[in-house]
Amino acid sequence: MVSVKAADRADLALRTAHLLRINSYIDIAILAMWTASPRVDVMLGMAEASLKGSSPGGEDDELLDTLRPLVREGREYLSAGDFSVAMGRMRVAHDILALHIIRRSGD
Amino acid sequence: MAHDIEALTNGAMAPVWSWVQGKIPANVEVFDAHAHIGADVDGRTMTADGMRDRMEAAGVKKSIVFPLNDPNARDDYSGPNDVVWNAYEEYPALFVPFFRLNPHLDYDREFERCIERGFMGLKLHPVSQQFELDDPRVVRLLGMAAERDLPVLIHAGFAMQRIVEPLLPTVESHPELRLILGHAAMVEVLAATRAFEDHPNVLFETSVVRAKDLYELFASLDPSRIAYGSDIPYGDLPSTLHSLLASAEAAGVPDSAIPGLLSGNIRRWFP
Repeated sequence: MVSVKAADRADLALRTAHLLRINSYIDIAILAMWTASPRVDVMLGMAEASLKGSSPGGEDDELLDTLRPLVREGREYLSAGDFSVAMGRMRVAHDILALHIIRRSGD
Repeated sequence: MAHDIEALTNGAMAPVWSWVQGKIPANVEVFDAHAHIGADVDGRTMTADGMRDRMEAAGVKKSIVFPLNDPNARDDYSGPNDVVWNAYEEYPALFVPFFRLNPHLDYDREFERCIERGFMGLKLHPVSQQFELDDPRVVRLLGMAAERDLPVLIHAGFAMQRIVEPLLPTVESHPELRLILGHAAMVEVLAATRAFEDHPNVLFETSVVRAKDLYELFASLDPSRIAYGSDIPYGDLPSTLHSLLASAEAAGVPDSAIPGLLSGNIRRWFP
């Protein structure tokens, strides 16, 4: 196995893995919101954490820059008791990410 | 309330909402095929004025409205149906009223009362009222709707486990039945597009369906069979319009089909 620094890799497989990981945490957070889980804030915090740092090779950084404020504001609005506004932001973040992955699958 | 509506489109949502507005052709109205007025056992509520405010803020011209899973529903659902009818009488230009029934109970009297009153469609929710789509009482009710040329919107979204297999025989035996699959039969979306592709009286409504599911829908079905919905108060207009338009664009739906998705397709039934 050839050891390669993560920051140096930017192949589509690693980019896809990175985005699928974020997608799963946003998905979990949305389900926690729908089911009014007592751990919903933690789930949203995990989604926020999954967005930290740059993407492999920086290829998807513009996408991450779009997603971060949506998830952050979603968490803030839910904490303030505004479910509808929070869910709207989480849905949009999830949708933008999913469509980005779908588009990249054709690259 | 005004603050809530503004919050749906400000901050990180501002560029999203701007993109959505740019995608809606200037001369095209938006028709929301799925919204609620009343109260739900889960605590959510929506008033006629609340719907009007949201529609005006987002530029939506007309909405199909029906009761929630109302905690105060009498056996025949007449109380929540009256709430929707009163909303329609207050804002007849804004709302298309559907009534709701519980197929487990004696529904004939409320069915007739609502049709005579002028309700324009029926809403059924298999999860909330805990029935299967091939329950003989449901099949009979769908037959009654077909006979009276009454459109039916069926919840085919969250928590559904059987959609195509129990519904297809009724659609085949009543090809005249005008059916709206609420939430686009999302858990079986590809199977549903295959099963109902040759049944032009089945529409797929898109409220709160995730973009990846809508991508499958748009990639596998003629867009003339798809209608926009919000599912207010569970959904909101900006985020559901975004999911519809972004998914359609990603799937290669031509711009010429956008007016139909936003209003033209459901307008065929409610001119």
